[in-house]
Amino acid sequence: MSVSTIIEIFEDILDVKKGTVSLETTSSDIDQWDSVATVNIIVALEEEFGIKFKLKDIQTVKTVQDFVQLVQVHKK
Amino acid sequence: MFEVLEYPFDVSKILRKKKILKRHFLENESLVNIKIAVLGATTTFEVIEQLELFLLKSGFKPTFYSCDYGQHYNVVMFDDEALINFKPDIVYLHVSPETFDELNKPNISSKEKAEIELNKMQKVWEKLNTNFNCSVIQDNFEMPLVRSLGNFSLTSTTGSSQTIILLNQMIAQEANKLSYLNIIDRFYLSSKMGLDSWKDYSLWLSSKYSLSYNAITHLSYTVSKIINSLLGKSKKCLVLDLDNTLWGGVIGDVGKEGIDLGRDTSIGQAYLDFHLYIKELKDRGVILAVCSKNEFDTAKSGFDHPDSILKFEDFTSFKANWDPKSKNIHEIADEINIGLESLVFIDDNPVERDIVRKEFGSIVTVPEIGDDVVHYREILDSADLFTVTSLSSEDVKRNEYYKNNQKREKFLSTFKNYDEYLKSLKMKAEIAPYKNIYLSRISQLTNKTNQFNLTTRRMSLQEIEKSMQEKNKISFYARLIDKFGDNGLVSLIQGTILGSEVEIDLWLMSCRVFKRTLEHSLLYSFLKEAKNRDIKTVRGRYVPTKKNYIVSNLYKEMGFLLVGEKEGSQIFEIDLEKYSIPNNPNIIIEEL
Repeated sequence: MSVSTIIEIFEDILDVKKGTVSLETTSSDIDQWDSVATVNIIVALEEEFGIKFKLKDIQTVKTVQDFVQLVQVHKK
Repeated sequence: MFEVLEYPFDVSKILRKKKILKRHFLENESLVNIKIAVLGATTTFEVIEQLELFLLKSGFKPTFYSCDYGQHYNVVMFDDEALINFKPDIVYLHVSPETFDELNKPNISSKEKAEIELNKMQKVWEKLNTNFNCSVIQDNFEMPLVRSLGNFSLTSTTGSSQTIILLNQMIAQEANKLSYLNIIDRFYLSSKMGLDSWKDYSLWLSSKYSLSYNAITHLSYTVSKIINSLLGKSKKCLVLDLDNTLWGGVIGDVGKEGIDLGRDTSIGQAYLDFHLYIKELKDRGVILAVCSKNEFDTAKSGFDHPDSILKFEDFTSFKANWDPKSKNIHEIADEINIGLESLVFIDDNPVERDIVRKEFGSIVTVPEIGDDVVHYREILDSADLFTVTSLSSEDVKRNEYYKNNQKREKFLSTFKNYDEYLKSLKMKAEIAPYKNIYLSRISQLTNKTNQFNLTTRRMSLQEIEKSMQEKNKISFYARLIDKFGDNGLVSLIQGTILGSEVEIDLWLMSCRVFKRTLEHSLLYSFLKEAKNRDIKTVRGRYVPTKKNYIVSNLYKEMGFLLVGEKEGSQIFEIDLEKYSIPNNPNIIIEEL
């Protein structure tokens, strides 16, 4: 798992230029990042890494970093 | 890039590339506008986004109306203003067992539960049909994911499994009765994927999606295929490679006796099953062609193999030579006289698939069938390219028509001039007002004829049915028979009378009978009828499209005068009082 792949997934789905998304980015930083986009990001990460998040985990994620950590936890 | 939208799908890629794909498709300027209302019992955002992509890929530019989830019946029954103003061409009703209120009630019989739900749907369908005269696409139901009665749920007269089976059966029966109603078979799609993958309970809890994203892709794809079919854009012809596609081994090396085909080996059995499947496609109207790098005679001999289900005669076009496949594909389309966009190319060789994709972009469909015969049949089947929403008897006969056309062409080469050839065809035509038994064929023709089509006006079954009851219409169909066989119902003309004038709003002919002068006979019949009804002026319009150049001069050739231009189309007129209507010497008109 690489952090850059996760960031690329965010940039693809949010449809923003490369370099816009960093580990600190949250949904309030990017207009396109609404609840629909969040679901898309979650499903794309699950598909990409062959994992399934827990419902309670998803409710607490805010920054891109949170998503990265979540993927790391599930990959183990 | 657009191959992510070809079966088998890469859902993660689709999700990531959605926006880029959409921008890419929107660059195409010849997209056809279409208005779709998606009415969801559950959340529909993702269904709409993916449906949009699949439709853009097939050349449509959809605009959508959607309602809040759960409002799917209310917006129809209580005449939501936005929906009324939207005037949908197609309405898609997206439902699921989660929203089937009575499903798990213990004290009502399965039959009663199914009837209650069906009754709600029927009211909505009727209302939609009355308000919009549009096609309706309706989901049926997958099995419930959990069953408190367990295995007994199917047998129990109140069980949820039994209820779903009964309801699906009732919905299918309704769809057989109502020509505007089309069913998305979620029951099959979910069985194929497996309910565990089809459903995503977390997604239901967090976002009220009744399906997993993977399932949404398959479902939206199926909805897009139905829409393609309703608008006459399904594929028509299967172009097949031979070596390692229709049999194991290279026939040029191992000879007819050496190819792997038949029950003796497991691989041979797989090729045999693929043959059987293709034969079934042919029997329901798909045209078959061969495109193979081989010596012609060697290639042909493969079909003399004792276990070969497919025979040389099953192929309407047979290209076995050493030319590039792209060249052969062009020739196949020309020979059969259909557009490249109607072709599906099957080849085990990834290099050939790639060349064809590069040459034709997304125009010719190239399923990613891989190189293992074990998967060919399943992939071709799931790609669902030859979708039909009803089977007209014309579909079943189509292969025969094209085959007869080839006989005609050979015959033609034995004549000195074309007139002599036309006479020798001994053509007879039946020209008569629209009849109910031909409704589905008439609608099909209006929706898929692109070349010989003056106005390219598309008409649904309901519109035609309605227009048949109006007194100010003159509508004729033509069937054509010749010494080689029956060409079926192949041409239409219809006009609307206003005072002493009639305007031809639709005139089309199937490409299978081009250059037979049938257009003369049909127009003359139309003019005679107009004269009988005391019409003085007949007006025609030519609305140019990318595909109908062939008829740009038709009105002039038939003696009409260009009187003006309006919104890009040309207006022609003929003065019936000064015009004596000739007879076409090549075609006898009689009841067939």
